[in-house]
Amino acid sequence: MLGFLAKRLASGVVLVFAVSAAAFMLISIAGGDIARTIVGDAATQQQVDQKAAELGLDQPLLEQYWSWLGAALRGDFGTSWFTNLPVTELLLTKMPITLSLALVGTVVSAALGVALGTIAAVRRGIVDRLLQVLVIAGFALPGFWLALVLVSAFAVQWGLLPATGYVPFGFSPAEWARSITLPVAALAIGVTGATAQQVRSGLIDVLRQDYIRSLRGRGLSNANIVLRHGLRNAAPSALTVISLQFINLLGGAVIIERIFALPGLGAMTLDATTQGDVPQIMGVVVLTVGIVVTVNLVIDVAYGWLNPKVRIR
Amino acid sequence: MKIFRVATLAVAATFAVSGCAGGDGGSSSGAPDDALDITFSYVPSSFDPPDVGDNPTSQFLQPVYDTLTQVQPDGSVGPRLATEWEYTDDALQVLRMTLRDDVTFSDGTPFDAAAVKANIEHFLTGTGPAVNNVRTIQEVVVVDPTTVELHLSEPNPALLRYLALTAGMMVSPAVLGQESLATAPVGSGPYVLSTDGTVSGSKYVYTRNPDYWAADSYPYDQITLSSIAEVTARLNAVRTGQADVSQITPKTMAEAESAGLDVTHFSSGDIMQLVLIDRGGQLSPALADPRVRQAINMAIDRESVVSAVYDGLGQPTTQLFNPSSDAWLDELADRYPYDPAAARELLAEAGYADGLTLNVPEFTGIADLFAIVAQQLGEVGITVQSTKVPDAQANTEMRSGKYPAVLQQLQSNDPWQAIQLMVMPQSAWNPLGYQEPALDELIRTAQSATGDARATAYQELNRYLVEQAWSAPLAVAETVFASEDDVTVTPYAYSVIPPIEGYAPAGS
Repeated sequence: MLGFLAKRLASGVVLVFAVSAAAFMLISIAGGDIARTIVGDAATQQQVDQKAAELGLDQPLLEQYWSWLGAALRGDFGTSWFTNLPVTELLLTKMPITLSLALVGTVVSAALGVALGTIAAVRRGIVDRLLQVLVIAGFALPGFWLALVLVSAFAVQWGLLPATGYVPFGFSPAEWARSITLPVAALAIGVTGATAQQVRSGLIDVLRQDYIRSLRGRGLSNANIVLRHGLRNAAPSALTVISLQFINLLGGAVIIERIFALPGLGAMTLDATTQGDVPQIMGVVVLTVGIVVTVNLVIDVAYGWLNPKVRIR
Repeated sequence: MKIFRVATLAVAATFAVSGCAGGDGGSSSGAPDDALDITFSYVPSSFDPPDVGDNPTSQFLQPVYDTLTQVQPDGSVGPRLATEWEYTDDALQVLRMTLRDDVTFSDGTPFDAAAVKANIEHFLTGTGPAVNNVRTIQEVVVVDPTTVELHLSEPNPALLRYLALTAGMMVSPAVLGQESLATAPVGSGPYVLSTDGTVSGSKYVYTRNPDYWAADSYPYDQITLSSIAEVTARLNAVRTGQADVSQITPKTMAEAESAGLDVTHFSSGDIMQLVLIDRGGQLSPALADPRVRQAINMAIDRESVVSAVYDGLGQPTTQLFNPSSDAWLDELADRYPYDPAAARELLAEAGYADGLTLNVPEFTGIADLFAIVAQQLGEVGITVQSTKVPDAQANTEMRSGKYPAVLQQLQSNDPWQAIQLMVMPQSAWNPLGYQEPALDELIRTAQSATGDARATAYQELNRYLVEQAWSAPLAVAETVFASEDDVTVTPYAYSVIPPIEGYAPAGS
C-alpha cells in the first residue's frame, strides 16, 4: 500500500510542475502591455519600463518562470500585481469557500446519485425510466440557469436562504450551511445524474452475476445482497465517476461563485485571468492541481480498500 | 452499505439544521438602522490616493479621507479642510488656501499646511488616471501652519474641484510613501476602515470616527461597501435585505421596480462616443476632412443607441460636455440629426462616394454598441473593421494611437476636466496629439477667463468642437441605483456615483 501511495504522490508532484509550466507559458504568450495597465494612464514610458523591470517582465520567459518557481518552492507565491495583496493570503482566505462548495457538492451528489442509482437498478420498470429522465434533465440544465432559478425562488421570493455571501464555518456552522445550500444545490443537481447512471449500470451488472444468485440461494435478504454485496462490488466504477465530478464541481464553482457573490477561488481566477495577473493565476493553478491530485489519491486509496483485488502491488 | 446510510443521514441532518436555523425566514444579516450597506461592481486597487482614479473607485477611499474642498449636490465646490481660498494673482497661478486648525489624523498626527504639502507632492509622483489633472501644480508653499499656497505653471480652471476628489485627499504624513498605505489607510475622515469584517477585494467595513470634526453630518455609525461583480447578485442582495443600496444597470431597472424597490437614476456624465482620434488624417486620411467627421455624426441614430444599449435610459447628445455644465448649449442638440442620405452626400462631396474603411477596436464591454454603430456606418459606405482586444487591456489599446477611431464611454463633468481629458494636445484621449491654432486659442481663452467670461469661452469652444465634428458623441449614460425605502440616494451633479454624503436615512 505504501509503495502504491508513494508512486501516486510522485506522479502528482510531477503533474503540478508540468501544469504550472504550461500555464505560465500560456498566460505569458497572451501578451498585452501589462505594466502599463497596472501602472496607469498618467505614467510616463520611463515609469512603465520601471514597473516592467520590477515585475521581471523584461526578462525572457524561461527566466521569469524560473524565478517564479524558485520563490514558489520556498512557499512565496508573490504579490498580486493588481491588488497588492500576498497571493498565499488570498489563496488561504478563498480556498475554504470553493472547497466547501466542491466537497459538499460532491458528497451530496454522491449520496443522491448512489441512492437514485440503487433504486433504479433494483426496481427497474417505470421507476427506472422516470429516474433516467430526471437524470438526463439534470445533465441538460445549465448550472447557472439553475442557480438563478434557485436564488429567485428560495432566496428572493420565499426568503428562506441567503441570496449572496458566504459565512465561514468557524463563524457559525448553521449560517455556513445556509449560505452554501443554494450554490451546492445548483452544482450538485447537474452532476448527480452521471453518478446515478454509473451506479445503476454497475449495480445491474453485478446483480446479474452468478455469485449473487448463490447468495440469494443461501437465504440472504434482498437488502443485504444489494447494499452489502452489490454496491460494494459496483463501488469502484462509481468512485471513479465521483472523483471526476469533484473536478467538474471545482470548475463549475467559478460561475456559481459569481452568481451568489461568494468570494472564492473561482471569482478570483476569473478576474485574475482577464486582467493577466500572473502571480494570482499561477497560485490558483498550483493550488487547484494540488487539490485534484490529493482528492484523486484519496479516491484511489478508497478504491483499494473497497476492493482488495484492485490494489496494485 | 453502512457508508451510504451514514452519508444519507449526514446530508439529511445538514438540511434539517439549516432549515431550523432559517426559521426567521428573512435575510441572514439585517443591518441595524444606523448602518448602511451598499454594493457596487468596483473594487479599489489601493488606498493610496494617487493610485486610484476619481469616481467611481474613489468611493472606497471617501469615508476615511477628508478632502481639501467638497463637492455639493449642485456641482459647486464648498469648504472642507480648506475653509477659504483665493487666487492672489491675476494670472490665476497662485492659489492661497486657509486651513482648519482643529483636525487630527486617526493616528494622532495633526493636520496642517505641511501635511498638505507632503500629500500633494506625493500625489504628483503617482501614476493613476487622476494625476494628470493636477500636473500644473508646480510647487506647494507652506506660509504658516494654517495657510498654504499652490503655485501653478498655468491656470487650472477645475483645480478646486479636483481638490475635492482624490487629488485633495489628505493622508497622514506619517504613512505617506509606505507600502502599508495600499491596504491600511490612515486619514482624518468621518470613518475608519475596520479590520474586523473587511475582506480585501470584496467587502470593506467602515466604522465611525468618534473624534471627527463634523460627526453630526454623518448619520450612519457604520458603512459597508461591498464589491459584487454580477448585477443580478447585487439586485438580489437588496431584494433580500442583505444590502440597503445597490448600483444596478438600466437593463435591470424594470426588475427592481417591479420588486417594489426604490429606483433612483440620474445622468452620470459618462458620454458614449466614437472618438475620432485621427483628425489629422495620419492613419485614415479621410478623417482629416471635417465633412467626413460630420457625415459620421449624421449617420448614427442616437435614439436607437439609447434604446438598444441603455434600454431608453440616456440622453442623446452631440456635445462632449456635461449637460449640467456651463459649456452646454441646448441649441447644439439638433446640430446633427439622423440623416443617412445627407451623410452620404457629405461623403461624396469630400470625395468618398465609394466609401472608406475604419479600423476600430472592439471589446466585450461595448459589443452591442459596436454592432449598431458598425451597421449604421456601413449603410452610408463606411466600413468598420473590428479588431478584438481583451477587456482588461482595452483602455491601453485605445489610447495607444494605433487606431483612427475608438468607441468608448468617457467621463465629462467640469468643462475643464473634459478639455483636459479629450481636447488638449497632451490629452490621454487625443493620443495622436492633434491640435490646431484656432482650437489652441479657444482653450487658452477659457483657461485664463473667470466668471461669466469663462462660461462664454467654454460655450465658444463647445460650438467649435461640434461644428468641426471633433468627435462623434452619441449619448450621456445614466447611473441607476436600487434601494430599500429606508434610504434616500441624492444624485450629485458631475458625480458618476454620489459621495458618501449622498446617502441618508429616508425622511431625514
